[in-house]
Amino acid sequence: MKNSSFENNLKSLSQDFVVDVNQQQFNRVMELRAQKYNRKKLFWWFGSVSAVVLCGLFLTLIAKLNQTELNQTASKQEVSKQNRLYNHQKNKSTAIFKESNIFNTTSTQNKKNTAKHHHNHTIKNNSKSSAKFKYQKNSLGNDNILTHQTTKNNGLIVTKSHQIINEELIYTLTNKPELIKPKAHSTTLAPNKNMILPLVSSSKEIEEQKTGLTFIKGVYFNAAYFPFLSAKNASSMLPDKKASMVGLSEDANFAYAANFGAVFNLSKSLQLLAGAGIHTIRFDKIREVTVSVDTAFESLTSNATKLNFEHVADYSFTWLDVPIALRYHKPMKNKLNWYVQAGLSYRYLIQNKSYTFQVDSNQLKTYELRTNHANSRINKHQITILVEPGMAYNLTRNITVNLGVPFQQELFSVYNKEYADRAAFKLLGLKAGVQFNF
Amino acid sequence: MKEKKSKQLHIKHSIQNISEQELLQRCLREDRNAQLLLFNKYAPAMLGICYRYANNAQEAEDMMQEGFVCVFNKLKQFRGESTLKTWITRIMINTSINYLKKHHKIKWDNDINVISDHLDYSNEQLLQYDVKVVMMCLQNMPDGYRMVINLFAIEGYSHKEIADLLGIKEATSRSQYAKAKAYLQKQLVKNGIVYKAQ
Repeated sequence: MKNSSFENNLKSLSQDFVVDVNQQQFNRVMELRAQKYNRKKLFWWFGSVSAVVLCGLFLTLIAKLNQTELNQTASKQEVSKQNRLYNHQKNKSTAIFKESNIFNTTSTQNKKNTAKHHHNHTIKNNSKSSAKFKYQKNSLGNDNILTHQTTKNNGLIVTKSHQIINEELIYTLTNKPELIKPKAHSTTLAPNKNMILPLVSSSKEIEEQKTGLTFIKGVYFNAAYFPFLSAKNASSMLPDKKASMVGLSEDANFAYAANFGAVFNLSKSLQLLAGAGIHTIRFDKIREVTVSVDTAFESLTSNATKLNFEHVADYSFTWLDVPIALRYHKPMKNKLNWYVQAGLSYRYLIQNKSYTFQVDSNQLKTYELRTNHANSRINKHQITILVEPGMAYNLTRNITVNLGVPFQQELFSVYNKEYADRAAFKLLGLKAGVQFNF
Repeated sequence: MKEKKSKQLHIKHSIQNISEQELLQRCLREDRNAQLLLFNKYAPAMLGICYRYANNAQEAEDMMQEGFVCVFNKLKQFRGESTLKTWITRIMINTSINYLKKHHKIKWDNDINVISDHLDYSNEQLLQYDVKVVMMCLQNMPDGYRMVINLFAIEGYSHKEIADLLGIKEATSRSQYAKAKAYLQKQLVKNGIVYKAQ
């Protein structure tokens, strides 16, 4: 059935059937392909940005949760400190009162002298003061609470030392810090030698303990030099599609970059870096090449079929660089930290310098090859993956210097579809930077 | 003008000289001229294939263009297990089928009253024919018939392969082919294609 004459006839008929095509159809194919490529690129670009944004949001959420946890821990530590302080003061005061037999004082006659003698450093010596102390059960139910009654005021606070005790007491038992005036500690604790000061060293640390990490850590400035560049299929850096036909080849020499930006704290060991800067790749190579003139530069020489020449290609691409990266850092020694950071960088081509093409032959000495021709062949947009291990040293509390080994991989080709070759660079270099912490 | 002509001549000259392997390598390097050479070499035959699957010339061109976009994008995947032409043909067929699936609503139970008028031409030989008329008859067939008759009678796929490719049952493929064959034979006779019993 399958090999019947009908099928055979139809097959032989269809195999002979061809339809002429033209250049326009080919151009249309290339156009469709470019559109598809652009759609794909746009998709990847959008996807990458979305992924970075989502990651950022996720990390911020984690950081917020961590911060809440830190705050809770700080509060608990604060409460336990207050408890310790209270117990210590209570013991001290009890000892003082016992020593001065203050519990036996019942006289109410020397009321006028009370205020004068109720200072910490005189309590011991003024054992016969008119203040009326008694060890009584507090309304809050703690029978070990020491209170002090005066004839004028039935409140709790009379002397500075007792003020401290009772303030701590109030705080500990009621857990309502608003009942205590914030400055009471510093003004009353300091003069008293018997008091134990809270274990805080600076206002910044107090703030960090109470509110967690500040979100903006500081600003940075970095400069990088990339002596090692490589690109797959970068057989020709000459922005001429004929170059690939004749086998010219050029290598990129080096790249350099500088950028600045801000550092944000996400958690104790995780930071987000975002900034802007410039990134430049330079090429200048001299090479001898033999080409078939009639296929490559037929307009230059009409007679010669082979041409030996030496060319100098000298041009550079500069991109506006917008990096965003996450940095994980860990202390090594006292002031030394190591870190690893990774992220993405969006680059937009802002400058494309012209180049010269010198030909040394019997007929031609110098030839400038379509100076601005490269512009249309270079991708204006680029996304690069950034990875960088490094070390940071805290010079002072506010200044940190760092040294890293950045590796970068471009995701898209330097050239657009107009150009024959695809060349996505890999860069390896050295980076130095300084960070100013707020 | 002279430069253009010399360039065209150069390209024509290159087509004859360049080997398939070199052409492939150059296309993989995204050499535009090599891509043009490849296109010029295979596009006429591929457009002929697309004509068999399409409803009209415009559709055939669209299929062919989409197919070549796919060819250039997937050229890296060509492992050389078959000839390049076979590989490109297969891509064109798949692209054409996908195009029809995408742009047409194919009715597999399309019952045209040709079975009653069924004529058995299986043992007859086409005596005189015009390829264009045959192609026209193919293009005028319903999509389902056209796909099955192309795949079975011309490309040499089995009914099982067709069923897998089109996502239909094997029995459907068989019945579609029978109906398509009868339909085509009738159309050919109508258009003056003469048959002679063997």
